[in-house]
Amino acid sequence: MKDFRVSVVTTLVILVCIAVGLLLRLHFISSLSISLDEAQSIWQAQHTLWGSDSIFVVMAKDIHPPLFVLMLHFWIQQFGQGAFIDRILPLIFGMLSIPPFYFLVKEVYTRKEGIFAVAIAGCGPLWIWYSIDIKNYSLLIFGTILSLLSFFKIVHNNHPRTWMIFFFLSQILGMYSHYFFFLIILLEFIGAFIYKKKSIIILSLLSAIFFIPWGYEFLLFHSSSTQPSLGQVNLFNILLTIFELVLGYHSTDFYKASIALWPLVILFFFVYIKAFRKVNKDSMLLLIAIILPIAGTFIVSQISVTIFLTRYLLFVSIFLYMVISRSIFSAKYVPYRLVGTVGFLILLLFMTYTQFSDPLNISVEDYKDSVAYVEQYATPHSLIIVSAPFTIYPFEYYYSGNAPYVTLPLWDRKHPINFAPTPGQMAALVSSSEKTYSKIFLIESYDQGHNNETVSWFNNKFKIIRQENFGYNVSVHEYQISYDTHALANR
Amino acid sequence: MKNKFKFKQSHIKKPLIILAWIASIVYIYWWLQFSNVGNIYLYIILLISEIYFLLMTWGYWFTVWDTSFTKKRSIHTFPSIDIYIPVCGEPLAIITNTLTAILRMKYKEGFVADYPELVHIFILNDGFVAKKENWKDVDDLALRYPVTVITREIGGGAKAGNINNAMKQTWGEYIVIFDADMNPLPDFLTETIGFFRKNSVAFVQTPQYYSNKKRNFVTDGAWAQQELFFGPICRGKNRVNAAFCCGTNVIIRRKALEAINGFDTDNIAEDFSTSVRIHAQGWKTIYYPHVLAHGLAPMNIEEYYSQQLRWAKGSIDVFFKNNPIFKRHLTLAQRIQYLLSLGYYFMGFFMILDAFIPVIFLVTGIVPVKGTSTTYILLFMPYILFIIYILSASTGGSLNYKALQFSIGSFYIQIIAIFSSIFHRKIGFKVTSKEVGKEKNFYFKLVWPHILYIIIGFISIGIGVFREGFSPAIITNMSWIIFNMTMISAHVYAAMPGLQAWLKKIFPTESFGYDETPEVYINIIH
Repeated sequence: MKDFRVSVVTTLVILVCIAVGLLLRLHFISSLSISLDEAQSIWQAQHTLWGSDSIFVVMAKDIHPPLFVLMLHFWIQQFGQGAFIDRILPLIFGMLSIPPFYFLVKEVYTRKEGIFAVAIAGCGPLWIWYSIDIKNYSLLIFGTILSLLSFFKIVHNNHPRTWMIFFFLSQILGMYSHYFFFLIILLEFIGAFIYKKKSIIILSLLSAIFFIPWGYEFLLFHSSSTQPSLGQVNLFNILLTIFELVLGYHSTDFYKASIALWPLVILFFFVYIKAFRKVNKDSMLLLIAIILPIAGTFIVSQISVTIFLTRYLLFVSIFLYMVISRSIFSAKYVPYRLVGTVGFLILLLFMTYTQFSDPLNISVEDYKDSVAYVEQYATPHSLIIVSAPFTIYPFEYYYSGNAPYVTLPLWDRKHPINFAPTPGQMAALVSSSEKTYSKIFLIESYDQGHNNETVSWFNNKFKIIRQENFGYNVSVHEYQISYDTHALANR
Repeated sequence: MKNKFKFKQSHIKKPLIILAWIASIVYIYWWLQFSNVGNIYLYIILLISEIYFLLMTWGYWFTVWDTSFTKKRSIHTFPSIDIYIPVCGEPLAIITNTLTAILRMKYKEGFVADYPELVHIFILNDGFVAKKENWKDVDDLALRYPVTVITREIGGGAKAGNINNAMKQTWGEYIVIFDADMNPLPDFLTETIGFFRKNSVAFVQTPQYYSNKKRNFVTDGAWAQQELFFGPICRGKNRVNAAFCCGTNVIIRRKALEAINGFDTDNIAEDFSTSVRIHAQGWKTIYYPHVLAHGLAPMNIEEYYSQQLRWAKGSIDVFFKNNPIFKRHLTLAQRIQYLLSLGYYFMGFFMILDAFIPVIFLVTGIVPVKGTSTTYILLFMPYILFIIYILSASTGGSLNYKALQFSIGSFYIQIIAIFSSIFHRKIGFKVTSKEVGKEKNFYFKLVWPHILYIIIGFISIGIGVFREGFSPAIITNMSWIIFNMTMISAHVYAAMPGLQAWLKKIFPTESFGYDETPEVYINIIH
């Protein structure tokens, strides 16, 4: 009877957490403009299924596997296109992640930690962010949780057949959702050694067979030069990423102020010191799961290409949330637990609110308003220059004006490109435009390291009429380039 | 019969300790580079403090490197034993409890009372020389039990003098000492005497368990500290033959004690300094980590301070006057262990130095360290996490935040003890009364430095924010002050029994307010 009552209460609490999580996601789903990444996903999903210009060819050139875009393709076919409706697809995976997350945490710890973890997942800022982001990240979280759940079921329960099948399938799902899922597989390999379970390795290798066709396609078409540069990372990025994984995206000042609170994190560790009492196999694996991806990607980013990005490491938040849940529930005294759980949930809700409402949030990309602004002021005698090239995706998504537009440098998005516009390219573009157009609207976003130079070049060359910033990432510069109305009349 | 309580402990994996060492070396290397020096004086103060804490940390890791212990030895012979109960004004009820428990201790095939030719029980009554009102009652009490009372008429040497006086009048091969508030379990002798089969063993020390640990906030905090000491620390000391006598719940070979002319009467921590002398003579000592006696923790903050002050003063006296580092014939490991035990009592001094660095910054804007804090955080975090992990894991998770709060909040006691030792100023202390008498509502005099720091902390935060706003530097230093305030707040709360009682009325689910009675005890009583 008691067990039944516990089950009912647990189910009710989980349902409430899920409901709150859903309401929060629906509340914020329309609050942000479509981002560059989202617009790119939609553009990719609009390709055909077969042929030389298919989704598979486009995705092979991209930095993500094709599963999400493929699903988005069918989703758009079925439900149409639009920011709200397209965001429902990642939202589904975001919501589907929550119940298995409970079972995962319960499997590793206990029911209490599981319930708290579900509450965290419901209102975690970054989980909400990527639940309504038309990209593959909520799918990555979903696949990772399923994979980890089945992994722990297998290692704790001596090879249950159902979970082995589940593990096999979740590996395939994960591999096709994000390339960083291979870090999860690596972690599970390490786990297989820790738990001495060969079956994990065998199942992962078997599932990898199903990835070979895509691997071949990738090798055939992938070109790294079509990818944007992500900039250098330094030690601060490690702190920033850990902060973001737990508390979401915020403005630079907010980050600095929050990270400055680090002595209180140590205080938290001292208050919840009992969480450190034992390093068993599970907690050792969780510790590795936090350290290895962060340290590994940071080192690779230092010596080779930058791959250290918070969103790529989103799955680490699963482990961080698990450890935080465990820490709080390890406290000996009930008041400590109460303060810890309530305090942390309030903190997450506050962070979620500021994440979506702070206009200086460095991750918010306000293309909607910037394009609306350009549409308002640009006439057919204006030229819109979109720089850097990737900005074209969200621009095209929103733009329905009469003024022509180009990318700088000119970009055939299916072929390699040098992202930095040279003064020669800019001069050529301008000289060909001066006779035709009276104004240039330069849209800058997604800095590839040369936005300042580009803006300086235009500032030196032409009179700037107006400049507007749209959030932290997007700016529009309006230049007067010609007063020759005769030329315009002959046009 | 099984003891109800067992010290939790776990053996920490050695690779993790090695990793911790590496993390600590990397961390201290950052300090020793001197590339981030702000104000040189503050930097040096912080550096010295960091080195102190690092050495103490290394010492702890060395201690818990291996905490396996010597197993119980079987008994072949039953030597003669004298049981001493030093008394100095304790209430009769408490002494009676102790006597009752002692009389039910097992020996040979029966109880100690069954073998008067082998086991002699002595009450060492110092009530007369200490001018305690109940000294005569104690003498009378002895008439009702098969025990002998030795009442000193000429004082001197406090507890050590009392024991030494008794040694001259008794003859047992082994001496067992129980403080008046310690109730031994029946197995005390049968569990410990076997260790003396080795002629080199001088004494066997057992833990002090507080059966009243759940009585209130103070008893709980005092126990939390004991748990760390009698858990991994004593076990680690035992590994390197550095277990020292704690003055009660101990069985000592008379020959070893006589070889050093009895207990050291020059030090109020006579047990500690006596142990140094025993080790210097090449004796082996044993710490047996099973609870074989139950006692009472200090009941209020005043008693707690009195106890801690005695320990601190005694240890610091040893540090300045009889430092084991210069004692001949001690092994290196023993010297390290003694230094670690003594070094603990300097923690308060360094703690207060550290605590005022953020205050200085907030008030003046002077920084000890300049430059970005990112590297520092990334180096400090693994180091502190290893410290926390090893602390927690070495106690099997029994260590709690309160133990740390009680240790760090003791800075006032330790600073008083240091100055008292340096300037040869005598400080008084009460014998822990263990009696629930009339309690004050607020022991302000004991925690005024804590309250002062909290006030100064708030003022300095105000000044800092007024000067710079909420800049990252202000926020970090503000956080450190909050950290320190939280750490010392337990002492302030402990000094407010009135507030505790009020809160207990509001939250009646509070888990305090009772004493544990071990099953074994219930059996004895009935």
